[in-house]
Amino acid sequence: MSSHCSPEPAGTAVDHARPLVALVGAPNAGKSTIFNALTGLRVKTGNYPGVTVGRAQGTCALPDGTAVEVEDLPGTYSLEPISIDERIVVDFLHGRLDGVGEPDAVVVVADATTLRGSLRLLAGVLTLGRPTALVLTMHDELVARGGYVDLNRLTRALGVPLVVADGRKRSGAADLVDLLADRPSWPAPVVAPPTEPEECTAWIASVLAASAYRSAHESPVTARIDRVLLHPVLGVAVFFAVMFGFFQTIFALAAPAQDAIGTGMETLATTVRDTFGDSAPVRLVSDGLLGGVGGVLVFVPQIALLFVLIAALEQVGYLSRAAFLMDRVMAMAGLEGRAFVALLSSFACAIPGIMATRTMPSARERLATMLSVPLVTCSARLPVYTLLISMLIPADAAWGGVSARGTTMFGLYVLGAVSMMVAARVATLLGGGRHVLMPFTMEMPPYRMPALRSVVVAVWLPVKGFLHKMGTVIVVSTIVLWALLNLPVQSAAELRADGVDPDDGTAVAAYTMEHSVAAGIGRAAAPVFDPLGFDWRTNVAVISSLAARETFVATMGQITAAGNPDDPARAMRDTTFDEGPRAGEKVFTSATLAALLVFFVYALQCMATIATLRRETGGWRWPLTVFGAYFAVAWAMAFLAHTVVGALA
Amino acid sequence: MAGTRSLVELPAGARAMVVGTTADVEPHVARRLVDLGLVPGTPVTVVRRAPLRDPTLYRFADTSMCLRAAQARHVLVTAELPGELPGETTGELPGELPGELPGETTGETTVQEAAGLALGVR
Repeated sequence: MSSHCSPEPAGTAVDHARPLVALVGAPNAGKSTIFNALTGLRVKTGNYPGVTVGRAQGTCALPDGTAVEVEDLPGTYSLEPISIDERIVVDFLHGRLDGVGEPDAVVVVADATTLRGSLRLLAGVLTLGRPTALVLTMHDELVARGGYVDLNRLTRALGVPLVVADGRKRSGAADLVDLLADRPSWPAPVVAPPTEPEECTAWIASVLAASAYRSAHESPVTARIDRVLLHPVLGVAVFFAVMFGFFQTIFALAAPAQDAIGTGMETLATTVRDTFGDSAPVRLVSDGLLGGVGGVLVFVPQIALLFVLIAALEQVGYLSRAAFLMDRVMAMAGLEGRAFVALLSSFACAIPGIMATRTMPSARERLATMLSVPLVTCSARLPVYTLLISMLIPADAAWGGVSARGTTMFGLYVLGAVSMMVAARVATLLGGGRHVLMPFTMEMPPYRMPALRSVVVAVWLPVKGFLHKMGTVIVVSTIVLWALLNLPVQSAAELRADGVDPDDGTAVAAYTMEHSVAAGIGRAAAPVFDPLGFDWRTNVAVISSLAARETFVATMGQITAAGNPDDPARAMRDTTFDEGPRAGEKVFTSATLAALLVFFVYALQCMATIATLRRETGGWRWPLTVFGAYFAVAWAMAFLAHTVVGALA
Repeated sequence: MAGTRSLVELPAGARAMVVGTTADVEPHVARRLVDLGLVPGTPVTVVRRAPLRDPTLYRFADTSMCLRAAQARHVLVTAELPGELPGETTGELPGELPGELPGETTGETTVQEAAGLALGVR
């Protein structure tokens, strides 16, 4: 436990031999900005053992060649924990957290404009008796808004060293590093301040008086902007405009990059095939491996862009406003306003949505949000919906003058969002018994210019995490699926014996798939999917979409159309059951199409999401639970849709 | 001062002084309210309500903070008070240190440095 207590370990020592410094601060105190200034991109993120509380740890190099580990603890208002996250902070500071170690020193980060509140937290930290220092952020803002604090008297009144650092400026970083280097001279406080609320309030008043503290005026710019952005009508209008712009940006900017990656990977795969010939091992590389890598890379532009926009909106201060406007709506799902960021991201992709829950202060709501956002209509469902709707509804159909196809698509989006809310509600109710209900508190920071550096860090970490951890899972699962769909290899003699021309690539592909391991699984799965009206080919496509939903379209094309894999809709329309009691009947009736659509609304067919859930919840328990639960719901709802539409048709 | 009432009853724009919490408040909620600075003697301004009436944005202890009605109803305040409240923008004990006012001691350089820094931001 106390292996950290050696005074100056060698710079080359392993991580846990380095001194450990904990960063503590209220939410919005600028803690993460300080953390970024100290550690840059040398950061590890993850969870604390056994809980869904996000953890960030980084290394800070000191001028003397040594280094310290810096732990960015979750934001907290006091050391009297009422949530899991605050419990983590307190346990960490006391060195009671198993396998994490004990901090050698504590840095309290306090916003100078809200010093009154931060002193209460500082009082709690000082009672720990560990070497402590204070970092004051937003001091420039305090002065600019007519406030004042005498820094020398403040440091004397508190008895701890103090550094003014605005992490938005690089000059402050050097002072911070010097502060950490000077750690041995930090005094552990001689007289700890009182922690009883009344006495602590009196202590705070005396410290503020002793340092001639004068509060800043409320930012007039912020007040003026808020009159518009929080207005019941104007504010809501701006909110929807921002959301609209958000998606426009993502689809306008990320789509070309995604197309370029897709095309590039295809070209690469073709080149590989042309160079090494068209054999099974080559196709494993060209289709399986490159297809898998491409499947991972294709998400990156969207994820990066999402995080750029979210980081910029957060740092400007707009996300708090949006959360304020949306809180009442999110409350219906048992969540709070901040969960809507995750919901919003999930319309593009559930992966950044799940990762965006790291900003949520309550672990219980974070888990409920993570488990429910995969139901939100992500962009991978879009090609599937487009295909199925085009088959289900004629192009010229209209309901009350509105395109029936468009209305159905909108309905699926609404169904996804409503289902997400219901799932979150269920998750909070199921998890509610074990936790106290957290009061909702959210600070509304003044509007500020975003710092490029913090935006870069906010984008780089999730993208790196995605590539690192998800890459392996997605690549492996794609290769496995490729193998299932393409093995065993059919010899030319076997093909000829069944009347297939070995030189007709498309026919061979269709034949191979029809006799593949996956087809065997598809046929074996028939009892499960028969009630939904699926045939074995649909089952294979549903199974292949486990890698990524949009694969459904390509697989359906390959498996149903010997002649024209580029127009799956036409081929699917003509598809009939080729075996079993319904042989000769059309497969894709209205009822079956409706069942497929509804199945795709609920089923968690996305390895990347499952891998992300595993990473963010710290185990297989939750991803496997929701996979099973959503499959059951998907089946039940699809059966309902099949029955209802079948009765109407 | 007139009788107390709950913070949640104040209309937008009203100002009042915190006097305490209701008797039925859960301990962890009471603790959080204190952590946020809602201690007796703190002036509170009701800034605005969200479009669907909840939550409400308040300003107290130099911070703008959103609270849901579920929590705000536990905060007891004095009847509405008009005008500037003592300590609201000038600290709790303004100017009570004669001879130690800003600018007279080593604080001077700090202020000038800070003012220089501030020019870069606003």
